[in-house]
Amino acid sequence: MASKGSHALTFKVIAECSTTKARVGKMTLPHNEVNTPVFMPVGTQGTLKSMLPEQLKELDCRIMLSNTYHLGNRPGAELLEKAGGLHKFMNWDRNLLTDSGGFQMVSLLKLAEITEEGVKFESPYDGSEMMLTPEKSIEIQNAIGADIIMQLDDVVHSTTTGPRVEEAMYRTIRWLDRCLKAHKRPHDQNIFPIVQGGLDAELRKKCAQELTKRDVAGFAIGGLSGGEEKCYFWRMVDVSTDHLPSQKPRYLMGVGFAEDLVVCSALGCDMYDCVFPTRTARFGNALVPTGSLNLKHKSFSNDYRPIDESCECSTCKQYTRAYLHMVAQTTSPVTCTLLTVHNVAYQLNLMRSIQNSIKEDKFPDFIKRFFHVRHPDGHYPEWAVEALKKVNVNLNELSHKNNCTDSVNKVKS
Amino acid sequence: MKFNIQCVRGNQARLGYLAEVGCHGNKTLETPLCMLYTKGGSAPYITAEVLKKLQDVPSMAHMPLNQVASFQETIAGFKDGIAKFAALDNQLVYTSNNDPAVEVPTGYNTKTGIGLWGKGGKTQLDCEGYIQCIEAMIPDWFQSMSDADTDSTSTNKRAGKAVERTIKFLDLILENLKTSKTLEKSVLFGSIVGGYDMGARKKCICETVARNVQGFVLEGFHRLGPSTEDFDIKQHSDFISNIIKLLPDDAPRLMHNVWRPDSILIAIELGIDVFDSSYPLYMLKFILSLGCGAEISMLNFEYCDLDSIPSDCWSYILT
Ligand SMILES: [Zn+2]
Repeated sequence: MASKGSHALTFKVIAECSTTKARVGKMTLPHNEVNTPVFMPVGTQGTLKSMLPEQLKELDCRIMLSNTYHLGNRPGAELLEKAGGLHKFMNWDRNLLTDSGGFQMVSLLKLAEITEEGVKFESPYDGSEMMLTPEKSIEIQNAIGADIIMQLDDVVHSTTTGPRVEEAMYRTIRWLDRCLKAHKRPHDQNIFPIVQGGLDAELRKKCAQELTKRDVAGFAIGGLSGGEEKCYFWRMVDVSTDHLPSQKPRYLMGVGFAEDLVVCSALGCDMYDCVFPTRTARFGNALVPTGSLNLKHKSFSNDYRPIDESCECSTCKQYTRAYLHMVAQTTSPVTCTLLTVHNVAYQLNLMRSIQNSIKEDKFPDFIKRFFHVRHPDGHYPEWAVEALKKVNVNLNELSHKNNCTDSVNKVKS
Repeated sequence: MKFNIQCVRGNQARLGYLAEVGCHGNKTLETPLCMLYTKGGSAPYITAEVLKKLQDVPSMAHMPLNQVASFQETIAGFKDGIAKFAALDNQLVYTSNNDPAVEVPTGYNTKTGIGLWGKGGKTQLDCEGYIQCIEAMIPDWFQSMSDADTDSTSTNKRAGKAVERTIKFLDLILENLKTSKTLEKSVLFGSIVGGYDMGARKKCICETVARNVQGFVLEGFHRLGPSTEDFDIKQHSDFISNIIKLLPDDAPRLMHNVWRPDSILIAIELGIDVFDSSYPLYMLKFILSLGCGAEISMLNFEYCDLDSIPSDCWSYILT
């Protein structure tokens, strides 16, 4: 059993949905409080591309993610330590989460090879052989100093099957123990273990149960959102949350499409990260309740409305779609900044709406309205219908609007 | 617009201020003046929100016409001009014909118009089209349409043709301006062209000064773009000085592509008052690094000494 250690994290569930597994939590970390479910923007190399920390604060972003692999390469752990950690280095006094570096290594470096010792790879700079061990990953993350740090896990592609998946799951547990042992800053940094197990529900369950025996402050669900079928994806999320303790936060790694955020919150996840909102901004796409707008499209050349009338972000308050169309077409470098600000605001607003509807215990209604706006024709994605049915929300039931008419009729009669 | 010269030092270096400038009657600008370089109406990478956080931002935004000429209808449809369209309501706007940071392809100007190259391709502008663009943008200052397609290799014949065309454009523009309510308050800068032919330059100045312009843009020395970093203003200082001697004292003089700080000092000494700031973007790809006092190669981060950079600059550098 896990000992009741003290962590640099407290998590309090402050509201629960009476229909789904969704909950609202207050997570207190060394740098401030975070309301969950929360979306964490990804600032690869210390800063979110094209946005200043101040701008993120203005959007009330309280936690962001940085990549250990990139930071370890440049500016490097030594320089970060000299600068007093990443918070100081990037001028961000709110919370940070770093990944272990393993995932990026395996996906970016062709020659990475996983052994019991760690991830062996060829240095992209001088070709020499290097090794990222669980101990090394924690050492770098200790130097970076994020509030939440991730264990090094044995990553397999989400569509891999067979004994390799099981091997990776058990190795991930062994590596967790090595990470916990190597951790030098438990007083102000929290290690999250990662539930692995591929697309095998039994392995996921087993992994979650094993990890739960360790003294940790929260959990991550990993190895998903790598191109697997959505019908497997949601089932793995569902089984993972079922076997994780309810009083600790659950972080679903690499997930951030709006529909996924809504469904996975209903399945009981509390934290998310994804590069999609910022990456899609670079291609001229703005996220809106109906989906997304490609502002390069000619139809916006005389559209003098903001991206989203109801959005309070600095882009929507000051710029029209027509202007954004013009700068997108002229490839003015400000385009990316303007759309990134809006897209991050969209994600954070979505999470706030999810939180509020859970607090009011109206989350099922929120889900139905959310999907109706995106799919007015009623053709909902099948996986979402299935996943939501599992947590007692029937998307195809009378829509919110019909419910309203019903009640109006009742009042009349 | 009023231009007050407070003192002249050295050779021709002028310290002054501009008042009652264009559409923003209450603004005063001190000269020598550096303008805020923009792309598509915004400072590179910097939104209006972030610009407000920065100190000492130049009051005059420089918006090259070639970047946005193909969006004339989009800007016109907005109705309130490009400053507001670009969320820079408090900024004054100057439009030049071309972007100093981008080389202008040669051979696209004609008797009736000029070729402007933007990201969307070429826009051929005649005087009417030019006025339509300017009316859509509603700048405080605007450069008269010109044929500046000359450099040190141009013949005197070509230089003479450039002057002829430019003066003809000026006449047509002045004619159009008479009836333009939108541009009532906008200030026209005459273009001084003519390559390296003093005769042509003299003619251009005589004709331009005789017409109703309130400032001058000296151009036609090169075709803009990155190679102008090597444009040696010292080598041409006598020639430029002779041009400036012919210009009236009471009007501001603007010259593009004076990039290197040492060149700016020489140009000020010669009597130039207004400069563009396309250099930082070209030089370092990010505009704020010059203010940090340290030149940092993005590729050699390990050599950078943290102590030499003010901490509030770090995040800008990393962006
Ligand atoms: Zn917005």
